Formats: sequence, C-alpha cells, structure tokens
Amino acid sequence: MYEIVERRQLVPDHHVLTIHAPHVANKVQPGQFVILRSDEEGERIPLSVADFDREAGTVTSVFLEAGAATMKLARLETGGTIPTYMGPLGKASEVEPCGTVVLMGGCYGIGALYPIARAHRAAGNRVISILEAHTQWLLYWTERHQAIADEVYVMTSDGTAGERGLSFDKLTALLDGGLAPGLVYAIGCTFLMSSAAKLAEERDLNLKVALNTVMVDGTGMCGGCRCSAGGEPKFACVDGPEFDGRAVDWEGLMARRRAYRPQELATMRRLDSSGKLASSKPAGKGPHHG
Amino acid sequence: MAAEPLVTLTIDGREVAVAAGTTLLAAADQAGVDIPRLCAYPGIQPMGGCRLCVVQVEGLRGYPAACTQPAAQGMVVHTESDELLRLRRSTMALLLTKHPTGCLLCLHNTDCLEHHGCAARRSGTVTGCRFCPNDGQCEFQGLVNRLGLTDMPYPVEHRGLPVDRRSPFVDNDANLCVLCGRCTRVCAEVRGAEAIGLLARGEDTLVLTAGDVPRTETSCQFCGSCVDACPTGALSERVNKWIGPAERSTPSTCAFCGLGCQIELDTVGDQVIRSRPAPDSALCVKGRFAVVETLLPENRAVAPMVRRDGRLVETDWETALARVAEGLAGCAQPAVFASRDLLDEELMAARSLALDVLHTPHLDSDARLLDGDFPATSATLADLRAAGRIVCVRCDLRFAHTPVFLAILAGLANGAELCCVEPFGTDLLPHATVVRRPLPGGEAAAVADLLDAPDTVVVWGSALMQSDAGAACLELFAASGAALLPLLDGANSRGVQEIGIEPADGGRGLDTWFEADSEVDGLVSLGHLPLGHRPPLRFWLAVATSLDDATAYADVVLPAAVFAETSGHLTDLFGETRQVTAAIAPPEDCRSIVDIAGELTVRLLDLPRTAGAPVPRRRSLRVRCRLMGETLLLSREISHFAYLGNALTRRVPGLAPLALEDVVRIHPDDAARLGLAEGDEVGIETETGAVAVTVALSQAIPDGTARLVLRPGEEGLHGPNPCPAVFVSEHEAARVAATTAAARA
Ligand code: SF4
Ligand code: SF4
Ligand code: SF4
Ligand code: FES
Ligand code: FES
Repeated sequence: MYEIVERRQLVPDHHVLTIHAPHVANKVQPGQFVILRSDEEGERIPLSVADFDREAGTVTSVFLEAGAATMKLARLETGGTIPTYMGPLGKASEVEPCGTVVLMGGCYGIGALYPIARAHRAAGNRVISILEAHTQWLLYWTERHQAIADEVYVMTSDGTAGERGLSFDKLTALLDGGLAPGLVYAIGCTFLMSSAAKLAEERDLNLKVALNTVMVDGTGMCGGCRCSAGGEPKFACVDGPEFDGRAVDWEGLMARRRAYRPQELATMRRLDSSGKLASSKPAGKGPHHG
Repeated sequence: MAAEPLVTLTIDGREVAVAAGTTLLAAADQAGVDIPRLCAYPGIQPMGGCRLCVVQVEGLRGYPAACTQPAAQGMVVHTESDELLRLRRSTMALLLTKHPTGCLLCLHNTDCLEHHGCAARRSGTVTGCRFCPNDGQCEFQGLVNRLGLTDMPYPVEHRGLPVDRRSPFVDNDANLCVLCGRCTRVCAEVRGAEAIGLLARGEDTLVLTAGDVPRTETSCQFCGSCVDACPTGALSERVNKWIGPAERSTPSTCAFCGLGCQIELDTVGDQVIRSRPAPDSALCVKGRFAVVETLLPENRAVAPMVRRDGRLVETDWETALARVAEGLAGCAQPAVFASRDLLDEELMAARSLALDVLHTPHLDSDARLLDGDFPATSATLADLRAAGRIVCVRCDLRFAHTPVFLAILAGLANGAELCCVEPFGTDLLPHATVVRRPLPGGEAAAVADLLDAPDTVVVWGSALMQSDAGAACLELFAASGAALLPLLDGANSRGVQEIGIEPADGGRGLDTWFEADSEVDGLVSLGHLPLGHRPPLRFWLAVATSLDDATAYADVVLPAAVFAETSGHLTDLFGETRQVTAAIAPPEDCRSIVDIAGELTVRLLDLPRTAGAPVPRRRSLRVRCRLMGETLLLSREISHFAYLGNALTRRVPGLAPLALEDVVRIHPDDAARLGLAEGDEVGIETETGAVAVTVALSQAIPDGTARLVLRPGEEGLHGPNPCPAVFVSEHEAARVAATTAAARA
C-alpha cells in the first residue's frame, strides 16, 4: 500500500498526485514514468513523473482526467492509499550539454517537462520553456518553470494569458528570430507533438517527444502503445517513452488510437451505468479564482 | 380564428408582409434574412435575454431586440451594420467570460479537431471539462465564428461548478451554460413538465430542479427536449458523447409503443448514436433514449445457440436449423407465438409459418393478454386538442405515450374539461376538474357517469385492460358514443388484430397453451413470452434478440435483428400504416425475422411430425408461505418498458429508476403500520403465487392498496387482478424468494 500524500485538482481536469514511494523516489530520473493502480480491480495506469523528492521519498505526477481510468484516479483522496505503484520505468532523458534547449509542454506535459527542464539547467544548458494551455484558467506551474528556466513563454489559444496561439507558433517565431536550439522537447497531447514534429522536419530540429499518452498498460504486453519510429516497430512503454519526434509514424499512431476508441467508450458506458461516476464531484476552481 | 390584418415592412431592403403582432425576428425569417440569435428558439415564447438579435429600426431610438419587437406597418429595419456588429461582438464576449473560450477562439481549431477527432481527451484540455461533448456540432461555436469574434477583451473565469450526472441519460455541466433559458422554456412550454428552471444557488444563477433534487424526483419526463434545445454542451446526452456528429440520418418509426411516433435515427458507421424526434413530433423517454442501448451488441443474442448437455452453446446457422427440424419433427402440436411488437411483414411470416408450414392452429401473440380486447380507435390526437371533455382512466403518461399528454394539455388550453379516474396518482391530476380515485378494480363504477358529455374523448391505458375492471369499462366506453383512444403498449397490437395472429379453428390461446390438459407440445416463439420457467414442451425454438428470462430455457435460439436493423411496416394504434426503415445492418450473425421464417419454411414445409416421448408435467406453480402479515388490495400490471417482450430496463439501465419494476409501491401510512421502510424486502402472497419484492413509498397510492409493476417476461397476470395480497415480513421474504425459485426450477 502506498500513501497518497496529495491528490488535488490543479486546474479543471488536471490533477496533481503525490505518492509516498521511496523505492521509486530513490532511483527515478527525469523523463521516466511510473505505473499505478487506483484499486485492486483497477487497470494499470502509466503516469509520467513531474517531480520527486528523494529525501521525503515522494514522487509527483500531473495527469489529465480524460478516460475511464483517469476518472477513477481523480476520485482518490489525499491521505488514502493505492495498492500498486511501480517504477521507475522507461528510459531516462539523455541530458548533455547542447547549448539551448527549448521545452514545449501542454496539459499534463507542463508537469512532465519540469524535471527535464531542471536537469538541463543543471547541466549548464540555456533553457527556454514554452507553456501552452487553451485558456488562462488551464495554466499551472508557471512560477515553478520561471524559477528554473532562462526564459518562459506562455501561450493560450484564446489569448487570455501570454500570447494567442499554441506552443509551436511561438517556436516558429523564435526560430524566425534567429534562435538555433541544440535540442527541442515536446510533451503533451499528440496534436502538440505531431505539429512540433512537422516543424522539426521543416526546420531540421533535433526533437524529442514523450509518448506516454498512448500507453494502455505500460508492460510491453498489451501492444496498446505500439508505434513505429524510424520504420522500426517500438513499444512506447519499454523502448521509450522518449523518441525522436521526426521518426515517429504519427498517422499510424493515431490510427491505432482510433481503433481503441470503441472499447474505451464501452468502458465508459459500463462505468456510467454502474453508477460509479454518477456522483457529482466538485470540479474545483481554477487557480486564478481565489 | 379570424386572420390577423397584415402589415408590410422592409428588412434590409426586402419588403415583407406579415400578420400584425409578428416579431421582427419571425418577419426577417420569412423574408429570408438571418438575424443572429441565441435565446430565441422555435416553439417557445421569446425571452429577449441575450441581445444578440439587436437591430436598428428607422425612427426608433436604441437597438431593439428583434425577437421581442413586434413588426409594424411601414417599418424600415436594418439587421447588419458596423455598430450592430460591434454591439453583438461585445455581448458575445461578455457571455464568453463565463464559458470556456479555448476552443472557440483557437487559431488551430480545425486542425486540432481533425487530428483528435471528437474525444474526451481533447475536451478536457480545451474546455476544462471532459463532459463537454465538444463534437463539432456546437451552435454557440457557430455564432462566435459568424460574428467573427477573435479576441477576448475581458478576463475569463471558470466557475468550478460540479457536473450534475444524476440524471440517467443526461450530463448537466453548468460551467458551459450561457443561461439562454431555452431548456427551461422548452421544458415548461413545450413539454408541460416544468422540471427545471433558471434558479439561484449561492451567487450563481443555474439551470436547476426546484430544491436541486435529482430529476427522477421531479416531473421530468426524460424526453430530452432540453438537450435538443441547448446551444452549448451544458446539457448533453451521455451515451453518444464523444462519438461526434452524425454521418447519416434515417427517418423511421419508434417501435416501443403503439403511437407510431416518427423518429430520425442518427448513425455513425454501423452504429446508431441517437434517436431524435422527426420535425413536428415529440417523443417519450423510450423513443428518445432507449433506442441506442437496445441496439448494442453487448446486450444482444448475436449467435445461434443450441442446448447441449443442458446448456445453451453457440453454433452456426446450419447446425441450429438442422436441430430445429429434428426437434419439431418430434412435436405433434407445435404452437407459434408472435410478439405484438413485430412488423407487419414479420407477423405475416409468423402466420404463414403456423398455418401453411407447420399446419397448426395454435397461433397467438401477447397483444390480447397485455393490451386487452381493444376496440377500433375512433379519436385522433387532433380530437383531443379540440375535445369538450377528456376522460382518462389509468393513464400514466409521464414515461409512455407522452405525445398524448401533450395533446391533452393542448386540449385543456383550448377549453376542454379533464376528468381523471385514477386509483393511483398521475401527472395529469393537477390539471383535472373532476378527479375520481376509486380503489383499483372500481374504475367502471367511477367512470360510468362521465361519458355522456358532447365531444368526449375517452383515453385509457393498458393497466386498465390488464385488470378485471377492463371488460366492464370497455362495455361502458363502447355504449357511450364517446371517441375512443386506447393507449396500446404494443407497437403493432393493431397489426396483430388485422393480420389475424390468433388461434385458428381448434387452436388454443396463449393463456392455455401450457395448462395441464393442453395438447401443445412444441413452440416456435418470435419475440419473448411472459414465462418464468420452461413449460412442458418437447421442443422450443426461440427466435430472440436477447437471452433474457424465458429464452434461457429454449432448445434452440436464433438471433434476430431489431427494428432499426430491418425495414417494414407497423400499424399504429390509429390504424395508420407506418414505415420502419433500417438505419444500420444487424450484427453479423443476426438475421431478420422474415429471413429466418424463410429458412424455417424451406426446412419445415411438409416435415413429417410424430409425437415423441411424453413430457413430464410439473405440478402447479402455486407456492404457500406462512401467513403472518396484513392484507392490502394489490393491483398488478406489466411494465410498458418492453420491446419484443423483453425488459428494456435490462438493456437500458437508465430506465430502471423510472420503471420501478418488481417494486411494490404503498402509501407511507400503510408502510408505517406494516413496519416497512423504503427499500425493504418484503414477501407478497396472493392466491396464485408468492414473490419477494422491494418496497417503495408513494403518496400517490391510496391507503390499503398496493401497486406492483412486473418486469415484462415474468408470469404475473394469472388469477384475479386486483386481488387481496398478504404482506409478510422481511425474514419471510427470503423464504418466499427461495420457495418461488425452487418451484420454478
Ligand atoms: S427531459 Fe424533458 S421534461 Fe425533463 S427537464 Fe428536459 S425538457 Fe424537461
Ligand atoms: S443549459 Fe443550455 S439551454 Fe439551458 S440555459 Fe444553459 S445553455 Fe441555455
Ligand atoms: S410515445 Fe410510443 S411511439 Fe412515441 S416515442 Fe414513446 S414509445 Fe415511441
Ligand atoms: S502500454 Fe501496453 S504494450 Fe506498452
Ligand atoms: S435572440 Fe433575441 S434576445 Fe436572445
């Protein structure tokens, strides 16, 4: 049993989950992920690590409440316990001196990027973070990123905070202004990452993406995360989560994901009719709401 | 009505003549000028709340709202100008301060939607709420685009309100609501339900039920009209959320009761995602919300099955059909059952199967058992709207036949007098001028003197026909000269009558097929019969859509297509022929009943049949338990939540709290005397059997009586109805349940 040190809604539908798990906290490196189950019958859920504290023995993740599994996760209470917490899993980010690193993150990726940005800063690289959210009240951890990055840009699709547009619009502008990054990171939804990949192709950028979003059980068994990178079949959970963004077959990945949708919808229907999700859970206020 | 005088005006240079009193918005629509609007909606009174429909009228100061401003002779109206656009944009921007804008103002909106498709993941990141269907059919988004709003001049806020998921079919996310009031006005003005209102909670005004209780505890009909009226994702249908907009739409007829409501079946690929009312029709909860889940393969019989070593196992069609021929060859006198919900074509196939192929006179359906000996319908919905007096007997119209409820309300608005003869409470009682509350069984005496006013329409429900008072009432109705409107629950009970699904010469009716002296020794059932056990038969073929209840006792099960998967006709309760059109193909291994009948004909025509070994007959089902409780007058009825004899509640869990099947409803005072509370298990014993059921308390049930709605497919209408029933204690309930189960096994 692992103690839930904190489960809190950061902004609508984005939650932070901190677990007391010294065996993971001791070894985890930026870029890795964990697998947990919210209850004995629950499915295995891969989450990227957004922070860790080796002394306190805690590991933190940020997740988006979207499917059946994460909906249950969002109902965990601080102070409670979960039965399974495995990790660290996947390959750690390679952090080497490379001049300027641009990190683009959206939704749970704003959290997942944080330890990677911190490591690059510690390695002496110049860190530029571009945080993307669709609206002002979906932004979180801006101050945290400001504390470790050389420059932080905020992008919202409606222009209600920072500039109007998405992260790759900002990167395009920076490149047009003469920026030549040694490495670019994109972590977030597949739209963000595939758009970044397109840009990387055009401008010949060294792009890394993290494919945590496509995993199902994270063991290399289910094949849910099968993708193809550089023409080779890969499993995001064991060969990744980080891949060369330009080498990923995005079309194929989205097709696989679409193939899983009827199953996901059926699961949601079952959960809905079981009444498990029927309770009206307070959505919680955004951070700018006092 | 005398025609209103016409006035002529000019809108954006186009001249139009409209009746005096017409609003500028309606006049503009007539002139083909499309003024932006949000709170105006067809069928309801204008509210003038959103102010997006502002226009300029020469000679008038300010900017009147077109949806409330009446047209006047000679008016010159302008609907587009820089000033109007500026006003509308700023109105819209203000609305958007409390509605998520991420998606609406995003530069990459189209690419993003194309990339993700419509998915929960996308919803969560763009609207902050995974419950927004975000499915590319948002009217609000269309307005934002039309007004060309690209920037938010005001700070935005997320209200952080909880999503209300207590309704069985609908999510209500108040964070997306723009308070246009369309839902609340449709609910009150179109559906006569007044289940929801724009009410205050704390500092917020929200769409709420009075007291914020779950909708099941209000007068909500679960008709979905509010969902259909909502221009945002605030009210959305759960089952098709995140599937995206429909690719096709097929007009058809609802097959869940005899009214024959016209529906549109929206489909994506090979899935029906929504059933909605055709233009000018209104649906009840079954037609609106039960179709999609009824069709899901996960709730269906999808492969042929044969009994092997006492268990039903899947097989292929050839093997199953061969078993049928073999099985029926050993039956001297098979019977053919055809459900009252089958299409005309299917009924004809059933008839020919019995008379021409199997040469057996034992042919019947459940129409007479459940809908009674109904006479020809002599009233229309239009007659109700124009009636002088409307007499309702046992009409529970909240979840069934609601178009009749709406016609009655229209009749009342036109001056009709409403007389209700209802042992149990209904939503109509508050509207009635004469209310008679006889004990169940006493309906005939109570209605006798109400039938002779001019322009009287009598409406009655199947609960009356299923009771012993039914026949006496029918005689009174027939003798009265009133126009008659029997509310048949069967989708094609009228077709059953017209096509002649009834015992032929020398044949037996369904009610005596399985009696001790019956010669019936085989059965072909098309749809489900109300049987809780295996009758004494040599062979039973069930052509079925699910494996519920009785089907589990059959020797062979052939999986059949359902109404949205087959085409044909239904005869509605008015005698009109209605077209049913297939919207999708049936699951791979299911076949239409007409095709199945064809296969059977090939194999069974002139099949030599000889009676096989005698079948052991069981003793009577009667159960006795120790009498220790009190006696109440029990009225039984079969739930109308049925399709092809199957319980709809099994396939559509959301219907269960509305149907209250196998729940005995009693008055709180009786409950107190019996020491019973809501949710208790209790045993009930009548002359014909005993059951264990759950208790629900209801003020609508008179003292000393009890109402039991039985799940379709259960035996339950044998013996007198109503009848005295002994209520036994909680401990006894378990014993009753065990004895009943043992007697059935
Ligand atoms: S479902 Fe129908 S009755 Fe219920 S709140 Fe909506 S409009 Fe009113
Ligand atoms: S729920 Fe929908 S229809 Fe009702 S007031 Fe809100 S936006 Fe309008
Ligand atoms: S009233 Fe009858 S026909 Fe109309 S939608 Fe309801 S079940 Fe279907
Ligand atoms: S998530 Fe199942 S194989 Fe990787
Ligand atoms: S449409 Fe006229 S004020 Fe809303």
